[in-house]
Amino acid sequence: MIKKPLQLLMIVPLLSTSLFALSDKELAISINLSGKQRMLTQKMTKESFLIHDNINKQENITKLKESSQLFDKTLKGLIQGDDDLKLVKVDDPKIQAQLKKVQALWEPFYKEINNVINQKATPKSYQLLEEQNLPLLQEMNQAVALYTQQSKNNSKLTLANDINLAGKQRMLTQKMGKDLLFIHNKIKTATYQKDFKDSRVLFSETLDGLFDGSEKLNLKGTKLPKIRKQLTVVKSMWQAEQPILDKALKDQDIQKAIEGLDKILIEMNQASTLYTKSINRQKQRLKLSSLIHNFMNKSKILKKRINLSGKQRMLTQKMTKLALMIDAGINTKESKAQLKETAQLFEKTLNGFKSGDQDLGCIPSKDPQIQAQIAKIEKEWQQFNQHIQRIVEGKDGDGSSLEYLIKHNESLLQASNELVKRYEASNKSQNYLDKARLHIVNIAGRQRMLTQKMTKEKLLIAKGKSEYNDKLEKSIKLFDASLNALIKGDPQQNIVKPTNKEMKQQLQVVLKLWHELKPLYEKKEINKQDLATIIQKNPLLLKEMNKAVQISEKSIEY
Amino acid sequence: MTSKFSLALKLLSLSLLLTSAQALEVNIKQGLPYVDVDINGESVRIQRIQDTSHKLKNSYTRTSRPAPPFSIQPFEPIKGIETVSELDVIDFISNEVSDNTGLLMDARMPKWYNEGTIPGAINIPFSMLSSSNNNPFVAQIFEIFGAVNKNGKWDFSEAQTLLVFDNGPWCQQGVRAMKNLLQQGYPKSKIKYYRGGMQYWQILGLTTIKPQG
Repeated sequence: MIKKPLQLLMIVPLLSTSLFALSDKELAISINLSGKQRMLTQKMTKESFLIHDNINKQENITKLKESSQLFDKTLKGLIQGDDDLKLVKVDDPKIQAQLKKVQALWEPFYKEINNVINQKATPKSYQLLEEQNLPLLQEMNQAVALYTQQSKNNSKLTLANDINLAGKQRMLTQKMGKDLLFIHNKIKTATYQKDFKDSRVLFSETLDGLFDGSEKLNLKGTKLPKIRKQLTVVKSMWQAEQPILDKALKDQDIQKAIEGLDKILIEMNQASTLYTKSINRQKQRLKLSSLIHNFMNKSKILKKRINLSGKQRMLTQKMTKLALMIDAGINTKESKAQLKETAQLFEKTLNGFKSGDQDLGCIPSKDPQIQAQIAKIEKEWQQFNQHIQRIVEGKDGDGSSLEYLIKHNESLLQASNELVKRYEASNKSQNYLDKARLHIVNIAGRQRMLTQKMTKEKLLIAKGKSEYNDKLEKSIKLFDASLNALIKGDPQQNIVKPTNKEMKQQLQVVLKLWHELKPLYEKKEINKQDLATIIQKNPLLLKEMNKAVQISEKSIEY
Repeated sequence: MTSKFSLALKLLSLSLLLTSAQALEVNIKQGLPYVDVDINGESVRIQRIQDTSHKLKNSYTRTSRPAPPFSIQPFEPIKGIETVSELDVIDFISNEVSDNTGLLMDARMPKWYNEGTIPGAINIPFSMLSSSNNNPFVAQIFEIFGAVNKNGKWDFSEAQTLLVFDNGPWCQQGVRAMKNLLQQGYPKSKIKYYRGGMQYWQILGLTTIKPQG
């Protein structure tokens, strides 16, 4: 079972990859143009029959020429790509097979269209156009559906179905015009009367649904003022068209009815454009959100690494401190348990840096300098850990393992500190504040280490190792100066003065504890009571320092 | 002069659209009570808070922050990049953003953006546009803006105009974002700067939204 945060980290790159591999822009062009093809099937048929009926013959020949050439060019473009139309070939075998089906229907259809244009059409030509225009429309519609399925994001977008049906309305205007001409020519009158009636009802229902939603048509409706304004234009034209359509059904004013439908097509097209713009904005927002998510995750991983590697420095000192406490007989049983636990945590984190760790949310870095440093720590740690285990198991009778820890703990600390530095250096962000925040995490993290180091040094002095007096003095000075910088800010150290109330209060808590402990650390002659106070309170200092780090990470204003 | 005139015309046409709207006490400007914008397919109304005794209670009431880094920005921090007002921002949202020829860019870090932003704004943290090598994000962002990479060179002729803002005149995030954009080759003519940022926007009681998701 993968823990949630890590799961998210793993999904995000996949999500962004799929988003960009699809090339939404290219796909949107394909969907738009293949959608337009549906309308063209009806428009061409209508124009052919207008020519047949001698209605604005020359004008319609020109229009038919343009419509059919556009259909042909677009179909070829969909199949093999077209630079002019900005169409890119889609390799999906299902789409290719579907386009081939359309092509098989289109070739004989186009031949007869050309006969109409060249005024060589026979009754058989018109018969084919009448019989094949709907199969052509249906197969083209199927191709649109396949393109839409490719655009997986569409289902997540508001108005995705509304835009599809708004586009279909354009086709309906042409289909109704075509039906009127068939009825006028007494071609399957009953069939086309029904077809006309269905299209008319569907157009009305869709238009209403585009305004206020429709469960039946799965339309959301819109409150967007620009789109509603444009739909209102369509609606008023559609209402005005009704008596004209009624008359046309009685074979009167057909030309006027078709011209009215063409005007509605133009206005419906405007509405479709507005829908497309809205959808494109949503897509743009989605893509950018995905990128930002990716970007922020990188930053979070880095903070996590700096925090964890900083904590490792503290652990080196804590382990040595605990070993000294065991040696001095202070809380022996508890100290042994803590030492075992601390060593396990150090090892787990180290393995996390190397190979990843789900619990810690640790993802390994590929940076060779970081990998080299981890290998160096690992080498030192193996020996160090063997001696820790001897102490935990009570096998360090001769004190050699404790001596080993005393001798080598600072080397392990330095190696761990170098890892923190390398993680910090891997931050390529120019963000001044982010860098400052990371630096604060580092400094505050170092404070945690110092609480343990100072206690360790105090224990070593108590053990008679007077050479640690200078080291302890340096540690106290460093803790003091760093705490002062964290409270007041220090531009030279790139430490921003906190203005956040919670952070200010937390640092005061730390300061208060420090004021209690500092004199004890500084005291040359220390009694058992003082040592007990140090042992009891230094974990509190560590805990409160940890809280300060957390506030600095989470607050909006530092 | 011409742009001011066209702005006045656009705002006048917007106000004419809204003549039938209910009268408000606090208008954006005379004759312009509000503007409706499309956010993720939903309509959001930009208007001013109608309570005339309302006062801000959030962090934008603060007058002073340590400076540096929170130094006061010049009126025109980058020569050649136009600094704009709230009315220009509203006009930009109503026209360029609505037509997808422009993008209102909140250049702050996501922590700030998620607390509230100008309706229609998209968050692109300034550090994401850093010019350091190995920054994989810039090329992807530029493509989303509509720029085209031709043999390693960016063609910005079809790219969107960006109106950049941040927390306000004391914030450097917007200026850094613009500097990053320029370093990467984005043309000055396609960048505008709203210096007032979130602080001035909210001081005027204009609508803010918390981004979803």
